[in-house]
Amino acid sequence: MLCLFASVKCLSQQDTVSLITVEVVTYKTELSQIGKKTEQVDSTIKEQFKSNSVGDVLNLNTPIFIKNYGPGQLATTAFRGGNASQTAILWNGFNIQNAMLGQSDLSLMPSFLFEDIGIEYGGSSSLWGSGAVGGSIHLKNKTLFNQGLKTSAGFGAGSFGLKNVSTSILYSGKRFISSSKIYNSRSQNNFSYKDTSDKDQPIKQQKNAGYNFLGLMQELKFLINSKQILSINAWINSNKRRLPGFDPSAESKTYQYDNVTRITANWNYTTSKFRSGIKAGFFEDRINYKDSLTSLFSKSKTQTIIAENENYFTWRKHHQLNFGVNYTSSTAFTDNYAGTRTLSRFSFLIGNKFSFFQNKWLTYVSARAEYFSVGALPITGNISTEYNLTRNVFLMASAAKVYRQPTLNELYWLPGGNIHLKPEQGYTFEGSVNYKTQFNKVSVLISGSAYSRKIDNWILWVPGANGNPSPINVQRVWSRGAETAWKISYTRNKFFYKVNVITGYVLSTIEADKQENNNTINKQLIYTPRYTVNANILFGYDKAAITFFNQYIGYRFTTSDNTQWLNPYQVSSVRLNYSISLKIIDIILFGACNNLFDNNYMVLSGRPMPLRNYEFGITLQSKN
Amino acid sequence: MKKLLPIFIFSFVLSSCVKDKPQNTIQPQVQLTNAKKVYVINEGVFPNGNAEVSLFDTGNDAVIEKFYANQNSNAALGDVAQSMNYFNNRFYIVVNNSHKIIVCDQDFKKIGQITSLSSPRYILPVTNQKAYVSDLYANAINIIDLNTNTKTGSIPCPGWTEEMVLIYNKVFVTNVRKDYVYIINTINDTKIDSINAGLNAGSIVIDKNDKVWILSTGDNQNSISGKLTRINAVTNQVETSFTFGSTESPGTLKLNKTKDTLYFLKGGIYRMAITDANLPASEFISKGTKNFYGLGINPNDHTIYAADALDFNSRSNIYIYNSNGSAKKNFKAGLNSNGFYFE
Repeated sequence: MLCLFASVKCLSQQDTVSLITVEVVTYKTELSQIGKKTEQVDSTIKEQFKSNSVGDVLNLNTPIFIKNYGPGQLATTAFRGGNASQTAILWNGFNIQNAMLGQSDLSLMPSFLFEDIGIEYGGSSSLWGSGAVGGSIHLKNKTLFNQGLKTSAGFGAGSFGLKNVSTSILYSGKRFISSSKIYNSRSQNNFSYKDTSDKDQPIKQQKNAGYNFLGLMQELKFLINSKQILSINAWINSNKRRLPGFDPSAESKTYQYDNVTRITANWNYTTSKFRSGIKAGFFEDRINYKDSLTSLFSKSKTQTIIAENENYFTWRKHHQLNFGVNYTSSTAFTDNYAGTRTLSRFSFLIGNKFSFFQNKWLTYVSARAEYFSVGALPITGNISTEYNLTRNVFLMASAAKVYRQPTLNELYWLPGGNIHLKPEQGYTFEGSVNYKTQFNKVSVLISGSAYSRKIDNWILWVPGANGNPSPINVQRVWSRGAETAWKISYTRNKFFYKVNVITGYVLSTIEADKQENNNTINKQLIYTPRYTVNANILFGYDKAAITFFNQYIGYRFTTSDNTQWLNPYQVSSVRLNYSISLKIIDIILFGACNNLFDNNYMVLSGRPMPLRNYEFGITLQSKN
Repeated sequence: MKKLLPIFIFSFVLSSCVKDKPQNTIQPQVQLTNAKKVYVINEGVFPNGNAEVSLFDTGNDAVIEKFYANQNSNAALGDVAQSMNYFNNRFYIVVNNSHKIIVCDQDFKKIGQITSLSSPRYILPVTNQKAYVSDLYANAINIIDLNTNTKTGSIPCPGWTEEMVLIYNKVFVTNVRKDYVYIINTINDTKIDSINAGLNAGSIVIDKNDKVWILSTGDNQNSISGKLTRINAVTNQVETSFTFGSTESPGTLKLNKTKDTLYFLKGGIYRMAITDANLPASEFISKGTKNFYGLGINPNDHTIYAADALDFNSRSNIYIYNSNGSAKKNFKAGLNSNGFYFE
């Protein structure tokens, strides 16, 4: 249940029997993570966030700043000073960012769908392509063969009419796996908040913010023979929500429907020295926006096709070569363009992993070249290394060239779209030190990382002809900072406790600005807090666990000249779970109190967050 | 203990960062004189809800940047202050994306509001009891009862209606999305006529001869030229029309106190006499690196106020020019200043 040192990688030698069950994407992830800070969301924490979104999990457990418009509303990342489109969101290795917007909404991704949620810090464009600039979020399905039949049903309820249902059925045989998950989450979301600018009537109630998210995930996995495995995954979801207006207590008749279909197939061929994978994916994002008050109706559909081949070849004892090709094509159908528009990208990747001193020292070098249907994309590359200095000290360093291609909207939106946009690109450097030790049943892990990244051709929408905003390559942004993690855990008999303190410090300033007249040089990017701290303490006894979360988010500037800002906030919550083991089922009870001290806060300007609120849940899980 | 040593070393490495608390650059306390005041309407940044009105004291150059908050116990004005008008001893601030008009007394204290509006842009009093409000999305002009501050009806006007003027019981309504200016009879609130004045018309004034001047921006992405059109307010006929180049984007038409000189923005500031036979060949005040967004002519001293919105996400610079075009002074106001009201 407890994975104590999640962020320290253990690249163990795997025997050939289990090799086949490790899919190629896992190898790619491991390669990408050499020399880079990584983190896996702890399984106890994952259990406590079972009915929450991936955005909620990342918000309280990582230094990533989640730009959240409120419960159930848009949640995107600000990762190491980058924006939402500078984070790669990868589902089993497929980048699922919406190609029109260049971002995905983490509110629409329930965390329970993924057996594994991993965070890769730092840029990795040569492996993951466009967008892997500030970091990557890995959402993975990990099912093992031969586990039998497992079913579970979860029910949750909470403040403001929150209701959750999630069920899963896993059949895991010797050669075949079927995993089905269905979820529904809905809420009226009509919470009260304090409007400090209104002296007469400060307590207001948010209206028109209800949501209803429904989805299904299906995984089929076939062990064809001892060398081949085929998996097919589908994730279909239909999400309806109302969007509150600028004044959340005022009338709003805005609805947004996000209907998403994601289907992937993945074939893996594995021998002791050679691994090959072919995968293909089809992704369709339909977004319908409707505002009857302002008579705005907008429909858009984006279809993305991804085909990829990757090969890993151990050509010498300490050398593993990898090479692959990727084809990605995205087509947008919307009235907001002058017609149907397609972006295609054909990429070639090559890399080599070197391992020395019984795998104590690993180095990975890679390069990626691409053909892009609109303009040129840079050749990207990466060199990274990690070294086990002593039993306790682990060192990592990495340098990479990274980029983000312009999105369909940036290129083709009418009016304003700019077909001449260049990709955002730059270099990123980072280094980390991990120290771990263990004494008297106490485990300590301390890690510190520092990074620096300069991105040129940063794209911003600025007022253009007729006052219509138009995106241009306008700025050079220097993001640098440091993160630390302090993790102490103690286990004695049935008792265990853990303390995690995660800090983030980000300076993300504008170094150059092509807008003639600006007041932005050396100013911090808007909505990029310089300081974030997440601290949590977990106490557990046998099958019960309680965790206290405390989060501090520093000043966020709301104007580019840094003269207006939102004040820092501190928010606490508590989550607990308790499992009861009966003859044929396990019953897991869950409870949470969010915003424990009833703080009035906003993550983003004009978007109040709920005061103290509660969640409860019960999960019934079959035993083998 | 030896094992814990690196922990302590680590802790020290962490403590040399930038101070987080920003410095407040806005002067909180200023003394005002009895001289005339200039109100600067700061649109704010959509959708951040940081609209404000700044107050400039022409007597001592003092600025109260957040004048509305200052007079109203730090209350927020709302999201996107599009315009402000003063009549019946009241200020009416049209807050576009808050879907309302805030009504303030002479001390700028809020005394009421007009709600149930879709996306209001400008308010024009038609009588002492009645006002019209143009709207971005409503496809109609809203009729407001000024005694009760309520919407009592609407007049269908397809498109995005913008600035309006009143003359001879007729209101001329500009339209951003259509080629036509609509004319409304204010006695019975009905649309009586329309005049082709070019696409994307947003500003309108009445000169000393009771002629109506309309400036349309056109659409330079589709090579549609902007136009300056003079209309006879009695006959509703176009008397004269000047056409801009198809790559130009003129806007923000203003008039001086004697109503004989037109000013407008086209990058820089341009001016022409109402009797001129051609559009001005050269600019009156050069743009330089500025990004002029708002324009106003102070009737008290004939100075020209121009708001530089910089990158549209910063406090504006307000430049004051003498009537001969020479720079006089400048001051900082709120975000995206788009207009002025002169006491």
